[in-house]
Amino acid sequence: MSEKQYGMLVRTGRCVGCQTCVVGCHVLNECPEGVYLGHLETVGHEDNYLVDGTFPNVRVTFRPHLCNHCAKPACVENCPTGAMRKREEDGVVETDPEVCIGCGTCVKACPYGAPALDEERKVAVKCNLCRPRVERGEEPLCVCSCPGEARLFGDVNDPSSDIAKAIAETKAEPLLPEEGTEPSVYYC
Amino acid sequence: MDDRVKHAEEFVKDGKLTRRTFIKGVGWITVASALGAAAGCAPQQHEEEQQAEPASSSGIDAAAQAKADATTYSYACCSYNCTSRCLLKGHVRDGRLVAVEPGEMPGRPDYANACLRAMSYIERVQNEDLRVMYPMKRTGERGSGEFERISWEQAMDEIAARMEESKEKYGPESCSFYTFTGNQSKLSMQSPTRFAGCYGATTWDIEGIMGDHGASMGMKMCYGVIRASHDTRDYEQNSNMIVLWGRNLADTHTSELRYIVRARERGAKVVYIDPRFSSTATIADQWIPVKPGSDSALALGMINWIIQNDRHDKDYLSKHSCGSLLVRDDDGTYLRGPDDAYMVWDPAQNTAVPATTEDVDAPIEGAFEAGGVAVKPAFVHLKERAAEYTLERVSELTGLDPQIVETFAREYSEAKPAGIRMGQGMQRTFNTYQSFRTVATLAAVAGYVGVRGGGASHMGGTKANKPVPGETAPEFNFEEWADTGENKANMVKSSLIYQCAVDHDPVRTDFIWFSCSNFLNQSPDAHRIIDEVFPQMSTIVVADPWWTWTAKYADYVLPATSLWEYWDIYDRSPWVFLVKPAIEPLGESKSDCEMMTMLAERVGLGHLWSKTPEEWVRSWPNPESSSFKGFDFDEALKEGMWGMPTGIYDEALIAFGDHAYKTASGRFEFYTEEMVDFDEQVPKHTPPIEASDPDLVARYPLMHITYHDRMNVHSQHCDCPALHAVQTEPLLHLHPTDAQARGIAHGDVVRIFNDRGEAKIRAFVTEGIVPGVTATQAGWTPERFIEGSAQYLSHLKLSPAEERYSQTSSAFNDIMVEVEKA
Repeated sequence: MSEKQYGMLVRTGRCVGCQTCVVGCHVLNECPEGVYLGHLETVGHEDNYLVDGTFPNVRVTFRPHLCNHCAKPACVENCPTGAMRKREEDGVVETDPEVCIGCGTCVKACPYGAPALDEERKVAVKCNLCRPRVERGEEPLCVCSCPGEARLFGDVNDPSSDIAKAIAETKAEPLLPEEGTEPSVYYC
Repeated sequence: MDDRVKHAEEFVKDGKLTRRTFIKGVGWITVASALGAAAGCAPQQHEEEQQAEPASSSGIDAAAQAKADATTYSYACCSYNCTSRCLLKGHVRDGRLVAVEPGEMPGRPDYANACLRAMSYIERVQNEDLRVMYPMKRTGERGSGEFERISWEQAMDEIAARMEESKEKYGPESCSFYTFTGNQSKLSMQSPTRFAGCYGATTWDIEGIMGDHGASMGMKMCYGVIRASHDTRDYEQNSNMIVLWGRNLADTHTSELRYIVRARERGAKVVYIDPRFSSTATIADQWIPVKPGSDSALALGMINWIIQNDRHDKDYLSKHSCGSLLVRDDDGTYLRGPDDAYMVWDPAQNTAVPATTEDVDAPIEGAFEAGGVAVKPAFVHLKERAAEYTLERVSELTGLDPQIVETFAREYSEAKPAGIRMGQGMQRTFNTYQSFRTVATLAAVAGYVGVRGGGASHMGGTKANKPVPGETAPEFNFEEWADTGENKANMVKSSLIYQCAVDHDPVRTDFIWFSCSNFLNQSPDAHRIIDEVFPQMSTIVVADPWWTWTAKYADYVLPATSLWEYWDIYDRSPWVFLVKPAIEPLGESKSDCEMMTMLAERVGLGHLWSKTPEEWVRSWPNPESSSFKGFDFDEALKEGMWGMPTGIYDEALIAFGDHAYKTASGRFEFYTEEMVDFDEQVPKHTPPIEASDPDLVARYPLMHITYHDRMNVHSQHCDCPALHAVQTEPLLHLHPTDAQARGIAHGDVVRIFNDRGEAKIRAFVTEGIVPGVTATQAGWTPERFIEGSAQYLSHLKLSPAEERYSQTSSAFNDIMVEVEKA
């Protein structure tokens, strides 16, 4: 656990469900129509934007999803071609479209359903935590464009990082830890 | 096959759709993995391959690098009308915009913003099927959608001839230029109005028909200005309570959200007032669900509670508000003294003295006789009026428990300070100036006006420059642009546009040029426009980038450039947006300025339009002004932006910290002489017009509102496919009790109707709305409804009080309807 591992903290109390993250990412990554690299969940509801409780005592929790860049990624483990890999340098899980055959195994293997299939190009597509941006010294688009500043990005394995401190402080938890993939995205 | 496997199969068929379902069923995820293995993709078999040929980042990096190398960046001002005015950084590759991200604002790195609409908008901009590509001339009936392509020369020759014919027959005022907020960059929005000035034609005072004027009118009465904004950072830093009153800023003004969220985490209580549990309600501590149009009743109830509990700020009310100004009993006007001075009562001398007299402890209560005229301080009128709004009555009017009203009034008055941010959502009922006016008065009574962390503020403002001692040079050289030659425009209230067409009152409207406007989709009572208003106009020209609903009723449709395809400028001091085309204009589209230049040349006004758009833009920044010290146009253009060195960036500015109000009296005025005839001289709750009609309510028992949401700035974004992750069609929100009473289930197609029209739409049944109220998202165009349009339901009724003061504000939230399963 000492290697660098980029990850994210999503502060759901700041999320208003606008989907700027979902839409901005889709555009930036030039995804085909209908393919998104993240999605919004309205916790407890099939349809987004339904609320809990009864009028006037209602509340709602939104949870934006993205690839969890797991320490033990099921997508990598199950990828038949080796297109899906986890980078040692920063823990980012990404796929090489030149190698990927679009079989969809990663989609099925991932406990979070994070990779998507680009059926036109016959390749899996997924969040790479905006690695090219990060390497240029910028934040992932979903982080810098979030109007509620709901997301923090950084090295979750470095206890001195802002994100690691915030995860500890807020007692944030990853989703589905019981799947054993050791996700790097935390929610509070 | 059990359900879990079925889920997995769906997922295999469509890898993009059912992730939400997938994530919910924790238990079956292993099943999905097992299915993967069983389907022949056994991971173990491939491990070897994986190890033999490990992918590396090098290929990925090379591809990313190639992409980056081929990408250039160009900036635009997000100039449609949410008013955030974000700097957009466009990624351009092979002549196409491929992505958009927030651009950095000089001096305010915290303010960089681009919302989902701005980022997806490039899809609509570059969709040739949606764009008007060439000048088009109608060949079929109006509205038939039958057009033929013509040349620019032919289009402008014919339009000019028809305009001249209207002028010849009915005078230049019968030719009008209706330019709206679809693009608020200077050249785009102002070119048609400038042309109207050059031609002596009519332009329209746009706020009325759009339903924004109630806010401006109410603010103007109180403050003398229409905004009185506090920088949102002021709330972040200073407010103990933040009241977001009808302002769904999380959807409609996303650049402000971060400051509210931070304030809340600091410990400020966030209260949200709206008939709907909107996106903004999700980050609030309290949702106060008022009935539409009852906001002024709530505020009056709070004013009354504060006064009755002796918590009003008497010092402020005496010194800085009209509270101590004497009002004549006989005619309700302010008592005037020497040189028309406003007067207060001087208890030391037992006489009325000019309000500017120093060291007078002017009372805000009592009754006096001044030179034989019975007078009372204006506050007495407010107190008496407010006394009509007991907790019980306010409860009836608002639908709120009296305890909620009382607790809110107490907490608001104790917060010291509490800041109120108002949004247009709290108006848009009949006679709607009362809402902003009354809430502003509430802040004044509590002593929060001109106070850090306080105020009752309209939309966010950051416009701020330091005064430069001795400087006479204007920031911009706008003289030539302001010069319209021998003529000037004839400005008419937009609330009167229907009657101008039909009754020729106060002017006849025979020729109309629409720009930056989907008039039909955004104005009340669409059937009335189609059946009564348009047929009275001999010529309708629409200049627009897109084939809007309005364009389909035009005689000529002209292709306009979007905000990514032209030269323009936007002054939002301390920032100046400088825009150059990021991509080639689509088809034969031209900027609004270029079109007006062509029209001017055809009617002998070419000498007033001698510059190209680029030349105009380059001519405006004044190098003599300190605000442009060190300015190099081409350097600034690279960043799309100039941050004025005179700008105030670090300080969260507030309104009227100096209490120098811009009203006639120089004070905060809750007493308005002009409204005496209507018994509205002080704030009063005037109920929604349709909900007050028992016959109408018997037939149409549900009150319908339209609201601005995350999908659209007005009508501009529903054609961006990227946004379909959010929503693909307009939805009718209604409460489960109303739905059940009509046998309507969530997701059913329903018919919503009244005497004016109907729409078919899918039902969204939610606990997050006041029972008895239905709501649709504003801006959706008819092709996105299953049938009809929400604008078939709305109406334009003139308010005598608002028309007297300025103009009627459309009551889009004052509509009674019935809903049934379709």
